[in-house]
Amino acid sequence: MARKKGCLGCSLPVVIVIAVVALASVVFGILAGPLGEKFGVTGLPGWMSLHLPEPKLPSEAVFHIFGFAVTNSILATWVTVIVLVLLAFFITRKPKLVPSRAQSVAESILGYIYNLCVNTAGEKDGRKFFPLVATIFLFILFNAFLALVPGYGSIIFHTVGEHEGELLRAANTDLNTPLALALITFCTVEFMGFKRLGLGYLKKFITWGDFFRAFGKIFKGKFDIMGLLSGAIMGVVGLLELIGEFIRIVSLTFRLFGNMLAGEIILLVIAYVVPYCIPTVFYGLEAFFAVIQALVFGVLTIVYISLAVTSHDAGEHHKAA
Amino acid sequence: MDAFDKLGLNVAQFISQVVSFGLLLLLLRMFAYKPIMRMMDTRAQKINESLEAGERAKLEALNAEKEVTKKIEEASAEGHKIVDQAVKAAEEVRHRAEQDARKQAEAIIDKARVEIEHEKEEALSELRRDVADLAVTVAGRTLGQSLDSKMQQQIIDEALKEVTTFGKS
Repeated sequence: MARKKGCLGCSLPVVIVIAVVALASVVFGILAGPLGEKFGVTGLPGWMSLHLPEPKLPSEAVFHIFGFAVTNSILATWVTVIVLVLLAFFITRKPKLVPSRAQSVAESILGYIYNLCVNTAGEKDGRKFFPLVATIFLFILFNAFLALVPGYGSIIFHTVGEHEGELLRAANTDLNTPLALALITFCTVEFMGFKRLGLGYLKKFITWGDFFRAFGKIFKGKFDIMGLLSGAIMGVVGLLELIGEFIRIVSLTFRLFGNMLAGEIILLVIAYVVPYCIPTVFYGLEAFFAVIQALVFGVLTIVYISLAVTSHDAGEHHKAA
Repeated sequence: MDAFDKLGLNVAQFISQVVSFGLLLLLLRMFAYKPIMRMMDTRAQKINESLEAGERAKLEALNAEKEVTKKIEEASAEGHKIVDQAVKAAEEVRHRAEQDARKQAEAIIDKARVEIEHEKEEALSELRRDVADLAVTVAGRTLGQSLDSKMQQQIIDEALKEVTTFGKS
């Protein structure tokens, strides 16, 4: 085989031109940003440099329907839903046994999530909860991916008489979205726990049985200090378990919210400091983080569910024996 | 409530997101998960079937090969048998031909011998006759007289008798 000249699939002159352009834009970016101002470079036209972003936590209402404020993040959510449904519709319109490329991609993504579910929760439960996990994964992923599309956070609208705001804002960066997902996960987990194990599900949290048994023995004249202590510890562990159950909502919410908002802010800050070329790298980084966060949320969901539907009776029997 | 406002939390927006997510779940379930999972299941089933069929075909091929080998062996054995038989038959034919030839040759030799004997006999008798004739003629000449033919015949016969007995003794 003939060895190709140049590198990265381009001929040498093209590579050189690309490198020079990239380098020039980096230098220009540095000069156009606040660093350049420090070095005394002024007089660049105003549209070339960006202003320092002011991150706002609450999203802004774009318009109102019957008094319900449709905010920019809700709008972005709708865009995500529409894009996902359209994608799904066109990819699976004619599913073939020998898949087309798009079908192949969709199958490999869903197959990956499916295997994850089955490996974590077993064949039956994995199949049952796969739609929830896959939807969480895709929803978060596409919310984050679409937020990298130009237009998000850069198309500005003006509300009447008031301040100006962005038309679309990454849905994950609005606290309502992660909280909604976390609460959906939480409710599913608790519901499945009660459905599978009945009131026995509460055994995991109310673990004062050993303590009261040891306490009762005192009246029979046996003072079992070790029994009392270990019973108390078991009781506190149950309490911690109960608190942990609710902490999950907070951790799920703020892990996603924090990561996504931080990513957004990093992009804005980098775009402010070095306006050209360098932010591209961070776009790649954000895409990677989006996948990680989506995967983490999905995996945690299926893990929590599989923990909730697993009976603790096996441990009880062990203790009795 | 003020802190929630600052964080951007809002019941209506929260509910809206929950509804959006629920809607997405339903729609994706309908448009993505069900068809794709069905397709993947079908494919898995089909692949399994194909694998089984392949396994079966392999087994069949193996059996067929065994059968063929057996048949070839049988045919080979049969061939050997036939060749053996042919060799034996040829041997027999040759043997018989040889015997026939020998017999024939012997017959020919016998016949020839008889003929030779016969010829010899004839030649001998002719010779005797000639010798007798010659002897009588020579004797007549010596005696100076010719013998009449009657006497001559008599002498010849006597001489022949003698010669014959002589020849035979």
